[in-house]
Amino acid sequence: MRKVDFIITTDRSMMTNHRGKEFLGFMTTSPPIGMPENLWRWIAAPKVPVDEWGRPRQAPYGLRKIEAALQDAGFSAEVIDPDYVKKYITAAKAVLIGHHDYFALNSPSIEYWMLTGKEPLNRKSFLSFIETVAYYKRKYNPKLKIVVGGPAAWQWLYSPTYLEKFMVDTIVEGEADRVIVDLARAIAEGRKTPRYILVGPRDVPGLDEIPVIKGASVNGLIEIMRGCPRGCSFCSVTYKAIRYYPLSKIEAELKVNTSNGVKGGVLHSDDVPLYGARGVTPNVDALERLHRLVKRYYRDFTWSHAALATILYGEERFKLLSRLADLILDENQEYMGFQTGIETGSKRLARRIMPGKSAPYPPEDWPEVVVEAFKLLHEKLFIPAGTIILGLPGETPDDVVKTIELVEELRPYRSLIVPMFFVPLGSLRGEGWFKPIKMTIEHAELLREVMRHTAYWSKDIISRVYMKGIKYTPAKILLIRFISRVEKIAEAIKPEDILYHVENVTGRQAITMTA
Amino acid sequence: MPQDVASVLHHDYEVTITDCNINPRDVVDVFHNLLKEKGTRFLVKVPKGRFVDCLNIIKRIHSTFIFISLTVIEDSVDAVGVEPIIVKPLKEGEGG
Repeated sequence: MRKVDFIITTDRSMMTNHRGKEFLGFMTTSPPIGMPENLWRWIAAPKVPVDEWGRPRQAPYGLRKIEAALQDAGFSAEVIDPDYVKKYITAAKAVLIGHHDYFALNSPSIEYWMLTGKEPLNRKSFLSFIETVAYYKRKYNPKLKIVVGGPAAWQWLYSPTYLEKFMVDTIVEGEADRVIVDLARAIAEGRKTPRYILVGPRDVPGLDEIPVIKGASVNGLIEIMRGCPRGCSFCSVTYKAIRYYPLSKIEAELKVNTSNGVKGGVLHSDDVPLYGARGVTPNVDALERLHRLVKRYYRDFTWSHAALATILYGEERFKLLSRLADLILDENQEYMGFQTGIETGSKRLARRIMPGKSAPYPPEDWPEVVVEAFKLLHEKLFIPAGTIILGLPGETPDDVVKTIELVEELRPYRSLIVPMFFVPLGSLRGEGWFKPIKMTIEHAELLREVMRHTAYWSKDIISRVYMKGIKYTPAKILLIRFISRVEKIAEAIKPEDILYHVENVTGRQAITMTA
Repeated sequence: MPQDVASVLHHDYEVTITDCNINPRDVVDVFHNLLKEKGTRFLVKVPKGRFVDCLNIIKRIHSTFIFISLTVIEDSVDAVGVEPIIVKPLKEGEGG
C-alpha cells in the first residue's frame, strides 16, 4: 500500500475546477436555488480527474504551495482528492486542510445564506467532509493530527464546538509557506504541536522562501505578487509586505501548469495592474513583460483582482489598458474578466474607510473613478465583477442611497455587481463580529438594483462570451433559465418584500450558524 | 523551552494565561504594554486541555491586534497561587 505522511486536502466544493470556469465557483457559495442540490453541485463542483493514487490533476493553488513547501523540505506530502483520503489515513501522520470559507462566514456565502435562510453548499460540503475525516481519525488512526489553515482559518476560532467535535489539533492562520515546514517537523518527530499559529507581517516568507508549485493548480491560477499598498481598513491583505514574484518564478509555475495539460489560467494578485509598481503608479514595462510571458504559455487567462483607480490612472497616463488589451485579446480570447472592489458610492464613506482605494485620485472622486473605469472596461471588453459592501461601520442611509445611484449609473456597462455584508477583517476586525447587519429599506433597494444589474448582464455574458462551445450547452441552458427567473423576480419585487423576507429568514439562520 | 513543544516561530515574549476566565480586556491591556516595548511575536501558554475555554481571550487578541504573530500552546500551568497572566521576555533564539 502506498503511504503518504502528510495528506493535503479539502472538500469537493474546493477540490474541483468548476468546469474550467472560475466564476462558476461562486455557485458553491450559495445554497441551490431553483434546482435540486445534486444538479447545482454537478454544475458548480464536478469531480476533478485523478491519477491511480487519487492525486488530482488540478488542485487549489494554496494546497499546491503547502505541498511544494513540504516536498522541498523532504517530507512525504501530497495533495489527495477527498474521495481517496481514506486510503491513506491509517499510515498518515497528519491531514492538512485548507479552505476559502469553511463555515460560509465570508462573503458572498454569508449573504446568500442570509437571503435564502439555507446553508450554502460550501458549508454543507465541508461539514460532511470533516465529519468523515474525524471519523477516520477516531476509528483508524487516533494519533493522526488534523491541521486546518488557509484564508478562512480564523473561522475555527469562532466555531469552538466544531473545533472539539472534529478533533482539530492545530489552526494555522496567515502565510504558511515557511511555518508549515516547522510544524510538519514537530509532527514527524512526535513533539507536541501548538493549537494555534498566527503568522504576522514580521514572519511572512520572503520571495525565496515561497516555493514553486509541483502540480497543476485549479484553472491554472498562479500568484504574481503578495500584498497591496492601498490600505483599505476592511481588508486583511493590505498590511502584508508587498512582494512581486520575479518573472522566472512565474514562468516556472506556468511551465508546471502547461506541462500538466492546463491551457488557460488566472493571474492572482489583489491588484494585478500594480505588478512591479512603486506606490500606485503602474509599471508599464513590467506589466507588458508579464503579459507577454503569460500569453506564451496560456491560450487565454484572466486576472483575479484589479483596482479601478489603477486601471483608470494607467489608461490616462500610459494608455495602459489599451496596450494590455492588445497583448491579451486575440483569436483565442475575446474578453478578460476579473474581480474588483466598488464597496460604496459614498464619497464620505470612501474617505473614511478606504482613502487609498481611489489613489492617486482623491476619495471625493471615487464614484466618478468607478463610472469612468467601468466605461473604459466596457469599451475594451474587460468584464469586472464589482463588489459592494453593506453595513460598513459608520454607514448611514444616505451613504446607501449614494451607492444605489452609483449602481444605476453603471447599468450601461457590461459587468456583474455582487453585494457583500461587512465582514470585519483588516484593521476593522474588532468591529462587531457576525452580528447580521440590521437591514434597512435602503439596503433592500440596493439589493434589488444589484439583482437587476447582475441578472441583466449575466445573461449577456453567459450567452455571448463566457460559455461558448457545445460541451457547455447543458450547464448554459440551466444557468440561463435560472438567471431569467431571478431577472423576473428582480423586476417585480419591492424593497419592502426583500426586507420582510430577510427579517424572517435571519432568525432561522441564527440557529444554524451557532457552532 | 521544553523539548516537547514545537518551536515554530521566534517569539519576543512568553505570555502565560493561568486562568481562562480572566477578563479578555485585561489580556489586551497586557499586550498593549508589550507592543509599546516593541514586542510583536508572542508565545501564549494556556492550561492543558483548556484551549477551547481560552478561545474568548485568543479571539480578543486576534481581533484587536493586526500586526502580531502568535503561537498558542497548551502547557502544564500551575494556577494555584499565581497571577492570572504571567509575562516573560524571551531572548533571541529562546522560545522557538
